[in-house]
Amino acid sequence: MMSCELEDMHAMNALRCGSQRSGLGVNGYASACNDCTYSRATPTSSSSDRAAATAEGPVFDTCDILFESLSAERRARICAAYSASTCCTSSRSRALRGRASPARGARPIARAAIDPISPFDTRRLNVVASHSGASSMRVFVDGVPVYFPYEYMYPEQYAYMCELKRALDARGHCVLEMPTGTGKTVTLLSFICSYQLIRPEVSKLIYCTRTVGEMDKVLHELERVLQYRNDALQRENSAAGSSALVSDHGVNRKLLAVGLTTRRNLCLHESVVSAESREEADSICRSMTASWVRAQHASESAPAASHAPGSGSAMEIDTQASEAPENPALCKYYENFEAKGRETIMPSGVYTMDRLMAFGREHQWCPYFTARHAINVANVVVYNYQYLLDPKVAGLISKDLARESVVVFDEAHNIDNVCIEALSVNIKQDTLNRCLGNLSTLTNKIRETRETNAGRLQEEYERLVASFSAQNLLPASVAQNQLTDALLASPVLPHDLPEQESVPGSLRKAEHFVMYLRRIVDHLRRKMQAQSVTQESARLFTHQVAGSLLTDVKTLRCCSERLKSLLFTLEVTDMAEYSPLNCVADFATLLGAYGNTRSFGVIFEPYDERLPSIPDPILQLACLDSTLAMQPVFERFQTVVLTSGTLSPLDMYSRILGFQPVVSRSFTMSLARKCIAPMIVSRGSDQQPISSKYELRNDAAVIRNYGSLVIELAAVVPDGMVVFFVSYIYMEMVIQAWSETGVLQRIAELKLVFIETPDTIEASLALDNFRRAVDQGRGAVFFSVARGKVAEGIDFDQHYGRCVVMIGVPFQYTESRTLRARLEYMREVNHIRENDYLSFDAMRQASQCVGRVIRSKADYGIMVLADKRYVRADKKNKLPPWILGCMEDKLLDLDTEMCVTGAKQFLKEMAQPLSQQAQIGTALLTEAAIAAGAHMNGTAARGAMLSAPAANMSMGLL
Amino acid sequence: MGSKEYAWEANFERSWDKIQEDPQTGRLSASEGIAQQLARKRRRDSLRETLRGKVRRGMMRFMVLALDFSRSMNLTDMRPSRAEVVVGAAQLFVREFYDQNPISQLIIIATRNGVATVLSPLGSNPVAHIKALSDSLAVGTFGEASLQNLLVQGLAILDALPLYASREILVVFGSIATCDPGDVHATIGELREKKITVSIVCVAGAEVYVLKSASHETGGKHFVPMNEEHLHLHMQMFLQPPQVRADTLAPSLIRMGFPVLRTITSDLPPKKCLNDLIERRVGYECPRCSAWLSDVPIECVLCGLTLLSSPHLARSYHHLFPVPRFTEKSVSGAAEADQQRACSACLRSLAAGGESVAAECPRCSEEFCIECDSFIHESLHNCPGCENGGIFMYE
Ligand code: SF4
Ligand SMILES: [Zn+2]
Ligand SMILES: [Zn+2]
Ligand SMILES: [Zn+2]
Repeated sequence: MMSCELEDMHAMNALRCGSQRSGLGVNGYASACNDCTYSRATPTSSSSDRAAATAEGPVFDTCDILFESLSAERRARICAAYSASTCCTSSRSRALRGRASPARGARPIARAAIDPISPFDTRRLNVVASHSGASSMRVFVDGVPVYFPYEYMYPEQYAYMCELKRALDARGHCVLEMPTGTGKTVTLLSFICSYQLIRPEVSKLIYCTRTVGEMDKVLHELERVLQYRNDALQRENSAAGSSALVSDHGVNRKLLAVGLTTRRNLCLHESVVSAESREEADSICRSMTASWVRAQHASESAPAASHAPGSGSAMEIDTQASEAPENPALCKYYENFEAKGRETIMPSGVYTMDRLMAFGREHQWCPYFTARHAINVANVVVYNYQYLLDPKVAGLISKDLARESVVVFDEAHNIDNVCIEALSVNIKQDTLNRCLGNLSTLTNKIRETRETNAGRLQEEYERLVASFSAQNLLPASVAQNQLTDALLASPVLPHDLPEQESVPGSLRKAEHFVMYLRRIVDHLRRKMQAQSVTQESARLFTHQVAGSLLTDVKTLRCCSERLKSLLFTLEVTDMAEYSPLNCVADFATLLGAYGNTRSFGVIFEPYDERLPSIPDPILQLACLDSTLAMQPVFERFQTVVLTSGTLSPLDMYSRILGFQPVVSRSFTMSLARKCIAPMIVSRGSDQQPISSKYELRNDAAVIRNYGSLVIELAAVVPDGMVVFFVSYIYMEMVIQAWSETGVLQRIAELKLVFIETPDTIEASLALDNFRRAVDQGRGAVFFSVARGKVAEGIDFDQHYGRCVVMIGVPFQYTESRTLRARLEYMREVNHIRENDYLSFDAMRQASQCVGRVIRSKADYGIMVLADKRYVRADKKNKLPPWILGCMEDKLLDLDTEMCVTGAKQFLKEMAQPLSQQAQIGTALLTEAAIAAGAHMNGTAARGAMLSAPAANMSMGLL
Repeated sequence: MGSKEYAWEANFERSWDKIQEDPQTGRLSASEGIAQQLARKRRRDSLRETLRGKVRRGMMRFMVLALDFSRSMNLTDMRPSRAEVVVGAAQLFVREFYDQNPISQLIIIATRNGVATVLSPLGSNPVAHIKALSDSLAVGTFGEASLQNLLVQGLAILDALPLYASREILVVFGSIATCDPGDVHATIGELREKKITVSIVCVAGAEVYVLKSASHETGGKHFVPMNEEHLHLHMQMFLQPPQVRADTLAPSLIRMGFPVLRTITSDLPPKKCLNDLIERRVGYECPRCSAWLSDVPIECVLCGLTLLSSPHLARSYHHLFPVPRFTEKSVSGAAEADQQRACSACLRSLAAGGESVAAECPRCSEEFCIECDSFIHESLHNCPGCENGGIFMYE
């Protein structure tokens, strides 16, 4: 120990001169030791500048003289530096620079208010940066001038752009893995927007996100990117007269970007805003906007024009509605949109959700329909995966998008599951019961209509007889006016439907069709009475259905379209009520369309395997082939980009999605400091192996060891901590055991304990309180499950998650029939071995879980993978390279104590201040640095970069 | 960072390695190696560089030193225990604080068992503070720590004090969690409004969000020492008065008295000091009300005038005129000339221990050993070479 440090400095000197100085306190200084040479120096013997200061007299408390004597310019700089010294030194220098070029300084800092990130995040620095003059850059990425709205660029961002360019040039698809927090979104957006300038034929960017929140974030980011791009172009334009580049493509600068989400988020009407579910919102809207509703009210309010309601009158109604006084039964926003919005093109710009709503409010147009209308002309569309992958939705919304589009799937690590779910139908006992209700209401409605308005049914019959295609049975006017009337398209992918096919005669009459549906429902009900699990191929099942119903595949295939036509004819607005029937119709249609392929399986389970005592029969038409939904997207668009923080191993995705990427790369995170500490804990403190595997699950020693791991980490990790379990059942079992052995109480002494439940509202409440406890400094731990809502969508960034513990390997529940069927299919068709897929899937879940703790480079976190199986190469090597790269060999196979020591050391190191200056050159690139690198040996350097295995190769360029 | 040792060995100390025998006297002393001293110098220099600039600094300070005496201070990651190390550092700090800020005052508060108490009242007597610290350590460390209670307590004390002085709270916290009665962020907001700076030294070995945001919000500093030595270094950073906040009042004049030291001759009876009520023959007399006081600096107990001696004031200036950073020069010890080189302050040969490093003052070009360099920068605040106008020579 530095014991001399314990003594004060005087004593150190005294030791040297051999005598003790007297009076260390008040008089220590004046009466310095005689033996010591220091006694020569007395405070009163003053140098010249000191005399100047003291000349003012001893009675003042601060030294202004010094400050006053500085030149005015220096003073201004100091003041600026002072006022800007908000969170770190670098912001000062920027603020100074900002003052030097005040041209753009006046813009309000818009993002700062929106971003709920804690003030220590670098993103906030970037905000400051983006609004002072020299804070963004234009760099050349292999000849493409890219406008990048930040002062610095990470090396991996530069590399990412290079790869993206390769894929765009080759008009091929690509898979790019880059860790979260490295600015994937801004990289993508700024590159593609800049690329569009020199290749105007790449007309559209379709950016798919998983959630509405992500969608809005993308739009906000895009706003900044375009702001800078356009400003920069303007400057270049005025500086260099009009350079060739800009004048050629000046038109392109007018750019329209919209985001589309459900009505519930984009509606102005009070009654929809207060709706509880998406379905309810859709129904309410439909009841005000369906063509027959509008037609009816139009004829009421304008009796002079006595048009028969129904087909053919849509255009005239439009004109009347605009003049008619406001009708409470209609939505005035829709009426206004119909009247004017359709022909008008929205002014260019980026429409974030707020801005879209404001635009709607200003014009009194419905924002939802404005957005739906705009996506066909917009240059950038941001929306949910579903809008492109689910044929029911895509057929309605995305069918007119141009081939020359670039499609980006962000957070694409679970895209195969989205694809499968989009084509699978689950039917429960309850669904069938409600179907019967639906069917009797329909029968009644048909009877009523026969009595009151038989013409309508007759009209439909004639239309069906005349139809050449069973793909769209609605009247032609509705097809045009499809925005409101058709709610969903066919559940089958368009290219899997035959071109020319008329509706079979047996379905043309409404009564016959209802009878037919009733027979299907009856058949399914009989099927679901079985007591044992059955699994059969869709082919066999279709055969059975067709046999027992005395029908053919073609008839089955028409069900869903025929039902839509019927509902339209009967003027049904509440689609939510008929969703069970829709579900069955979709089931039949999918069977009809894919019944003779191997891509589907039909699985019946009388109860949940894990809770065998509770009868809960479920009949699944499970899509087994994830390529099915994805294939049309790959075929239709010239470039599809799959990107996420965790996509390793990359080749797996091309196999399960069935495509050949031209580029697939994984980037690591270049860091000035190692801000993640991944560790594998394989043993408890008693050196016994720990694992969640089946044989060890109930082992008391393993559970105890897991408990002590959590306790000891909770004692050293400040603020928030997250513990993931492999499943709810396992979590319940472990927590039960912990509470019996007192482990839980000991954790609770250190941190408040919160537990995720399957109930969404409960879980979000727990999450809220967790955040509050962490904010207040009490510290909290959140127990959660892999594959749950929290593991997929909630970030535990900054202090909310300083440490995440993954207890066990989150394998899927392998006894699940659906999984079995899919594995079998993959083995036979895709030639992927069961174990490969299972551990790939488990590891991507695990990386998602542990990746929750780090959301930006300024963040840091500990990742503990607690299971001995992680040590094995087949598991460990499936971790993304950016995690694996930080995992030192000595952290690969730890026991509890070593893990805790490592955590302590890491937390101490991370608590030391990190200056941004130190990062420049290693983790941040300036414009000049990139220009220099590219200048030296343009394409040669690029070639070197691509061939090199390390991702932060652009470092080598510098 | 970046050390090659195993992480779990990094904390492992080999204290016996540091014991050295003085070649002349044969006495054993636990001293640092030259490499460690040098590292310390560099770290100090760079730290000071970031903290120091030509800016306004307050000279009169009121500081609340808030210590954590909760259960977590029992931990032994610093030996013998966090509490003992922190109390030791605090005692050293108190002594140096008065030495370097003669016209400033300290008060010590502590939290244990979820509440905050005053250990030693506002005053200018370091001895009392130091004793109070030792006494409190003897009571023990237990219960939870409450940051909010500490801050509320500090706020109540400092709020009553004049605005022209710099009002600071220095918290030495050893827990990774705080157990508070209410919203600690509200208290932090209040402190910010009252322009009270909260600085944190967190000895828990990790960055804790509330602590960091308390210092961040109020414009204070936040340190997480890696070890004991680091703790001392960080504590020293608070010896220097903080930069004057842009939002405080404009500089104003304060009335001060400069009493003369007087001795009562033996023919007269000794007078009772009005502060500690002990009869004394040697003391100071307030120039305004003639109160008899034993020691300055102090606020006159009778009339409230700030009393101090002029060296106190002079010493308070040194932060405004810091000793320049000395440049490092290597001493190989091999060359004949190097053998001759000696430290201008302690006159010991610079090449005594073989290869070594000297520090040269850029103003007077005198060379000093690293140890003296520390002393000059950390305690003396005058360069002996410069003060002697360059005539200070050695043969
Ligand atoms: S038309 Fe638009 S504004 Fe009107 S109810 Fe439907 S979604 Fe809402
Ligand atoms: Zn007085
Ligand atoms: Zn010396
Ligand atoms: Zn000097």
